[in-house]
Amino acid sequence: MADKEKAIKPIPNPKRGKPKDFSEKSLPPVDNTPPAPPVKPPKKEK
Amino acid sequence: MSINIYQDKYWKELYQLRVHVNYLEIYMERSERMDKTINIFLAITSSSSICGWAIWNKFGFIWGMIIAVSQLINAIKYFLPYRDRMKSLNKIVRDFDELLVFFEMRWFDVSEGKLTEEEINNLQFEIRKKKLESLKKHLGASSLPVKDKYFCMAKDNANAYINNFYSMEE
Repeated sequence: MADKEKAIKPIPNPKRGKPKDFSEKSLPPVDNTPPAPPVKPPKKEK
Repeated sequence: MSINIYQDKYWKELYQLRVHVNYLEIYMERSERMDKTINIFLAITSSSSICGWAIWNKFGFIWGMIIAVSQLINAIKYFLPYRDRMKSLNKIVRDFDELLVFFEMRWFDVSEGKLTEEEINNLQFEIRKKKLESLKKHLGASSLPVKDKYFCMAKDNANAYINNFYSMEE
């Protein structure tokens, strides 16, 4: 019985459960952004 | 006036979001088209009236090949990624569209100097966080293979949009 349980125990997969980086895998980064329109300087911190 | 580093980062994040929305819309449209093409092909090959056309007596081998392909597609149809991808993309595009409207509206506050550097920085990372949340929620364990052609089209569309609404020319 113990041997049977041992036999069906799944082999641990180190890749399984590893969190995926969706931002990089699914959506490619964008380069050559066009220049921003004119802006006013940010508000000063108090 | 020269742009502040945080405003510049926000602008780049916003542009990236615009490109990604376009990219996902194109991706969705192409997946839908592929799914529809497969279904039309299967409908034609399973139509008994088309099977009965006299022309197939002449081109029996070709018809046999078509039937073989259609049976193969029928067998693997539910393992093809298009259908699941379409559902996921539909939800992601909806989320991203809402994000784009909201964060593009906030560009006014960013560009008019109504926010501090810290607030702009927080806003920029909010875009990233929300995008990531949506992708994790709807894509599950799968990921989208990168399609360079769609990406180029998405960038062209985004540039046209920027040109229309944010052009610096008088």
